[in-house]
Amino acid sequence: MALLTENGKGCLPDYEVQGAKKVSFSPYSDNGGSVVALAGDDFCVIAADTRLSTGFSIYTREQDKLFPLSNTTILGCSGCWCDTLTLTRLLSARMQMYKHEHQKEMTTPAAAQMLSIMLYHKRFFPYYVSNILAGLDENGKGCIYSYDPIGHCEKTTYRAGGSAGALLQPLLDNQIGYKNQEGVTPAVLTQEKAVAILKDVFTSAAERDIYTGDGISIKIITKDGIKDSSFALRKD
Amino acid sequence: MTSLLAPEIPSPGFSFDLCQRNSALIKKGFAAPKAVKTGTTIAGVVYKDGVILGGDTRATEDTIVADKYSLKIHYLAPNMYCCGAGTAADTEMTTEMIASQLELHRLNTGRIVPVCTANTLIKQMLFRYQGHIGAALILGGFDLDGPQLYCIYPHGSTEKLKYTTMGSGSLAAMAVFESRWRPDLPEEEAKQLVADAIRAGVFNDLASGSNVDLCVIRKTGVDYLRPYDTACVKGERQISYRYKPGTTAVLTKTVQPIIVEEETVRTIQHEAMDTSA
Amino acid sequence: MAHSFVAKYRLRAKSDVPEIFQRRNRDELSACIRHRADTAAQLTGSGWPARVRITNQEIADSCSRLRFESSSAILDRMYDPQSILAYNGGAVIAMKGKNCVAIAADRRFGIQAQTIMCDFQKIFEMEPHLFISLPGLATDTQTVMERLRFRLNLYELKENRKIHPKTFTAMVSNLLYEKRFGPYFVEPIIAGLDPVTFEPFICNMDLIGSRNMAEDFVVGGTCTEQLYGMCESLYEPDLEPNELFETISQALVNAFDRDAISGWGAVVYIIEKDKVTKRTIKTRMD
Repeated sequence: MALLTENGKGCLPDYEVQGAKKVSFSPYSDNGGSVVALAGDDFCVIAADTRLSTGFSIYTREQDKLFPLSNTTILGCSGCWCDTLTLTRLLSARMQMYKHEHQKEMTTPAAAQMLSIMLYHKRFFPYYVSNILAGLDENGKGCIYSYDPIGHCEKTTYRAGGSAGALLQPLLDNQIGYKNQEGVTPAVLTQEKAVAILKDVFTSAAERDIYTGDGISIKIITKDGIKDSSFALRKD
Repeated sequence: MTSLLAPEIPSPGFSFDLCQRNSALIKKGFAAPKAVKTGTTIAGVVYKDGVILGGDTRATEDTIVADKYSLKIHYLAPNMYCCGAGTAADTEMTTEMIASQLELHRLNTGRIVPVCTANTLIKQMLFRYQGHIGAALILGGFDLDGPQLYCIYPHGSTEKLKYTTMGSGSLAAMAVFESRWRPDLPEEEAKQLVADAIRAGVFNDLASGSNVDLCVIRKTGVDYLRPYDTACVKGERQISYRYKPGTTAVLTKTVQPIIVEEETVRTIQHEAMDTSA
Repeated sequence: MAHSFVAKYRLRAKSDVPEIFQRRNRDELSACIRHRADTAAQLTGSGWPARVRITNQEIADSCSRLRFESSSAILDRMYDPQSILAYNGGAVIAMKGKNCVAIAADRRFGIQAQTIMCDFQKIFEMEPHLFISLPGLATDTQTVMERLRFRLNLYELKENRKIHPKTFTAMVSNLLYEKRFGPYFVEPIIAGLDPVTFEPFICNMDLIGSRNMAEDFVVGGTCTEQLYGMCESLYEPDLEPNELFETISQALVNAFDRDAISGWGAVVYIIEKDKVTKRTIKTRMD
């Protein structure tokens, strides 16, 4: 109490509050990677590069970033790899619980909704992951859901995300969305064209984004199942 | 006093006119932009008959590649070259300035400029700027004392070495040197060694990439090999994205013709140099 | 001491704290300060203490730098919206064609998110065959352009000939590097034809004058990532002038549609030996 009377006015003496210290440890890391998904009338293609990196170095050149959740749903993840692992582990557990409870696979829109909720559940300590969910809906039509790290969900027909998302997206707008083109009638997206554009956008991104490269793994989802393929990118 | 006949000669060196304004902007909470860095792998070795310098060709701006084929082995003098890592503009300008001083020195003395002169000039300049000029250099050359190789840090400290690496890929490149370098390597083997060291940087360091450039400096002359090896090339495009004419909606179009009204050619007669004086 | 320098420059560590986490820090920071203040207030019994040095305004100020983006923080790695180079916004490309070059820019002038005008000039004609664009802080765009025009006029008076684009590039580079420690916030893009051989020439620079003379295309402005992505996919060598126009326009328009602070109209110059064609093109205006 001597402190208070000393000053006479009932105020604390003139002192500096020690500023809040920022702890140098960060629970997040950015492991890079890009994901692109395109939806057609009866199929869906999703691809991700296979480079896992940190800072200026590469962890591995062959890391698959696509996670099949069911026969008709695939999740593509990039960002903080440890968060990706945890998130996909929890997701597959939830998918399995759903299957046992309801005696059927979860549909893609349902999985999309669940993912959104799981992400928002961690609103104040989010999973630092950029997610793109691709699959077929109940009617067998291709659909894509893209997310921000805290669970905002948007349904689209084409999407690019991850470290090279900004490089990839405008070309998809132009070539798949037919934006800014006069006198061009939009053609229905075929599987061949989708895969060709996918390879091209990744080839371009690998030129300019240092976190995208080595190769891509492509998964094509149709009613007959999931078809895998891969494609080489530059390795520098 | 400035007049038309005697214009004021601007003071040489850096201008700090905008510093006050810029720091005021930064104080307001705007972030200062970043300059292009040559996140780099550069290396140099001394071999039997001379020096070999090597470098990759990628310049980055944060995580984006700003230049795929940048030149990182700079000319200093006919018998001297210098690899640069760090801030791209700093390495370019520093080597250009030193190159001009070395040329003046050569004209004054009429001799081959020793490599240690260049080393001293560079280190004195860099030390004067206390590391604010972000140039990390590998200086190599051949003079009367044989092959010379120096490693110069941005603060102005230097080392004289037989083999060295610099830049973000220096660890990868040094790993190759440590395992395979030995004194008096033959030229072809030394070229392979430097190229392998640079390739180690190109593939394992994300900020290095594209090609491998080499510069072989020996008593008899210089071989500047650009590119020595195209370590990585762009992938083949699957489809062509050529647009039909008229795809883009044009609002207005103006054509400005460039008409050459007059052309005069004045031939200059060769005149013998006046050597009487 | 030399040893510590070695460590500093050999390991280029990059600290990249995600934006989301910065927001967490901010919340915690202000909660922590408020708690201290409340405790102090209880002690003194006279309400909010006047003498706690860190005011809420200061917290707000220091935290305004820690920006928070609710939309995908990883996806959005553009220029820092608070960067001085992104104060006014803009997008520019230059491309080489067959015996021609093209330079294109958007027409927006804005102050951060607020658009002021849609017919702002960003490409300047220095010579009939030589164009320069200076995306960045608009005040510097205009200042640097005036200074360059002054130096160029002096050059032409002294030399009595047209400047070569390469020489002009060196002039720009020297002007910028002189201000190495207090730079102009512009990233110039130069496009032109050789005055003698009419060889195409393009070049870009960072804000302190590091030159990049490319063989295909160069980009600049606030959406360089999008522009690089478009150009890498669309560009083909040896395009004829009309084909080059379509390619450069599509690259520019689709790229700046994904950037909030550039767009609002675009202008494209195609520079050939005997003529310069200027086109304004229709774009989204939102």
